Amino acid sequence: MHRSIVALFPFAAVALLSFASGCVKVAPYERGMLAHPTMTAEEISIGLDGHVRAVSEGAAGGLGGGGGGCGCN
Amino acid sequence: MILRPLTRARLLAVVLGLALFLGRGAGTPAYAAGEDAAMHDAVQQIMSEDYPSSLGPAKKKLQDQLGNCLKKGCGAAVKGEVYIALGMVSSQLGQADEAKQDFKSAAAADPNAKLPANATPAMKAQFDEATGAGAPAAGGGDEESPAAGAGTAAGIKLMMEALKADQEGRLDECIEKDKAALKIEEQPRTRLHLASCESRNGKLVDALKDAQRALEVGIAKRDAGVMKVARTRVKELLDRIPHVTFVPPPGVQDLSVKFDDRPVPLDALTKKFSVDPGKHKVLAEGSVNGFPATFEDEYDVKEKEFTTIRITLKPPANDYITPGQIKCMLAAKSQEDGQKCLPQNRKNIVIRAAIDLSAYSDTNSVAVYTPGINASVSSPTAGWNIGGNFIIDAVSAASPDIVSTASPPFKEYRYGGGITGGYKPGLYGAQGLASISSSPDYVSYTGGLLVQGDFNDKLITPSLGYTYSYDRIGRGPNNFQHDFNPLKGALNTHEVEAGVTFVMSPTSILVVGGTASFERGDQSQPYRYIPMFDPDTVAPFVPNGATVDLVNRTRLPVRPLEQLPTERDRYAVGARFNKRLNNATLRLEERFYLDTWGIKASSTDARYMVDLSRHLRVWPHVRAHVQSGANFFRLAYSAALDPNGGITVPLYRTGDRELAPLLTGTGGGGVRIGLGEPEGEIKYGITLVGDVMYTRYLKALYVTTRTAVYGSVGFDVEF
Repeated sequence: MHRSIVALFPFAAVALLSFASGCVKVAPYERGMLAHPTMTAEEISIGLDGHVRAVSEGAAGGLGGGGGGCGCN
Repeated sequence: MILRPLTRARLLAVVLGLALFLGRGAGTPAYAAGEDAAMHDAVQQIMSEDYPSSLGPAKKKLQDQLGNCLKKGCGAAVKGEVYIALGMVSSQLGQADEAKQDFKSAAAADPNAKLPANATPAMKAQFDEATGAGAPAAGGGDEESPAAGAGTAAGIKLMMEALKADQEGRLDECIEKDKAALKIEEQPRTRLHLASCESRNGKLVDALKDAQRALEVGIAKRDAGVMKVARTRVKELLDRIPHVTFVPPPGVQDLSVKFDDRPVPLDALTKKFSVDPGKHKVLAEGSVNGFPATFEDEYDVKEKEFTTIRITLKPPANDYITPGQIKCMLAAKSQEDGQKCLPQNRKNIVIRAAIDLSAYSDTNSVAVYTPGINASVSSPTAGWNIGGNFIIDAVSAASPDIVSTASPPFKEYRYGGGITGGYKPGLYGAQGLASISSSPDYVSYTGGLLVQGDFNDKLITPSLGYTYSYDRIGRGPNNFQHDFNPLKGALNTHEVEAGVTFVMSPTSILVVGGTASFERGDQSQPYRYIPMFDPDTVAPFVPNGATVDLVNRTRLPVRPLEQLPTERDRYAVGARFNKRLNNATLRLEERFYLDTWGIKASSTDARYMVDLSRHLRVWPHVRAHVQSGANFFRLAYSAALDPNGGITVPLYRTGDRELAPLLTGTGGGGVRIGLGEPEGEIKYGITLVGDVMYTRYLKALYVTTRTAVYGSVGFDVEF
């Protein structure tokens, strides 16, 4: 029972934030700045950045998955 | 010509003398009528308006008058007057020989011709030499101190240089010399000459100020000649000077306006400004609906014109959206309409390829070199994409963990590759991925699918994904051929992820997400031996960071392999906030994590990416990570000996420091150099990143800290 509640926590948090932010209105013509490459919603990384984190931190996931095994022994 | 020190009193006397000279014939009957009278008036006008401030034009006008006189046969008196005036102008121009010739001609034309009573000593000397008269040199009781005389002489020298520059058409030098002369001594005639040069050089505003200043001084000194010329000059400049005014945009609270790079006070925007004729730049900035906007234009203002500058703030043109596209987007009713304004960003096919080389080295004698390549092909119009990547990790390690087991340092290669493909023709789409990673003792296969949609006019973009991984862990080198122990080293991972991207404002987005990962299987490392200690006499006293030698001397003979729990559920929530600030982007990330092994962690990451130019972007990067240890992690594990000689070891045991409580701080940065035009058909660039990572292990054998340096250089091209 406890595990089930914990498992739902990330998704409940996302859903809560979705409702909380639903009222913001930004017109299409106001989104020029959002087209800048540095404003991408994805993570910006190159080379070993993500790989080093995966093997040096005991945590993973959050925004996007932690990915599959990397053979980092 | 030899310049003699000239006192201010003498200089003034010269000017006053000229005025007297020019007015001496006012009551003479011979000038009362006819052409002689007209010529006399003309000479008088030249010597009162052009002399001494505009010697070049004065000389030309006098020469014209002399030509008329000689041609029409004017009277001796007026002919002598013209020659005297010419001689004075020549003398002031430093043309001594010409001045003497003029004075000689004056005496020949009119034996009664003479200089004004207070002509300069130089003029008097030249006149005497030319006519053979023995006029006494100027002098008397009005001599000033030698020091003052020297200063005045320097001023006069500068003024003479200004006159010469004027004569030769070098107006900038004329202005410079006159200003230097005025610093030494304020002389209204010098200031009038300065105004004259400024006026002819297009600097009407400065000319007006100087003419007004000369008028003020003339009034103070009751110098009628100066007052008359200065008034004429001021009136003439007031008629010529153009003016501008501004019409500010309504409702812009943070408006700032610059005219030729000089700030214009906002409360004075609607007033009339005097400006020089010519080209002027106007730059205005402010926020419209919270969106930074600018106005920039150039105006060519003519003399006497009145120009009204209407400030209309527009979103700034940048490398990615043209003004025409912005105009189109302003008229768009929806996001879909807005996208239709960007045809050049929606090529039928976009190909992107990149290569990079990364390197890692740390204080635990681990080094990694990783060349990589990736490429993708996408169709923005049709909504599909495919891509792939491939890397090689060349790893060499001689860490204390290896040394402690008397194993030799090893080198190995890991090969990793993946493919991805997606289809999103409209508001909804899906993205799939598959990857494989293979090293001599570890093989991993991964597949996943992510679906996403656009809602609320693309202000909210949620996604939901699932990934499955199957890992085989064994002893090398034949793992890729599935030579595994069937009971150990198999790991199944199911991961569900959900995320939503919110457009929070015209300059910010927020990404929130969460993952739940369920690992099932034995992921214990087959090479990792765990030292055991006596539970009573040794284990409680093993220090953090105990050396390899100390561990080997104090541990028990038994040294079992690592054994981890075969189930692990991992949960994480994260948020990423991107804010665009003029020419920079702030990216902040936070993640909270916990798992059923008892690890709780927080990771904070920040980048501030500054566009220094259209081709150069730099950014600092910092990251902080803190975590607690796994609930079965021990600094020193204990083994119990039973009376029968058997040994009981802990069910779960590990030497993995990443399962220990630790703190990590990372600092570094990167630079992106765009080699092509950002809006060009082919875009390519170089990216360099580097970081230093410091980790402090709060409970671990062999090491208490690790410092790692890693970085990458990459080249990418898109067309």
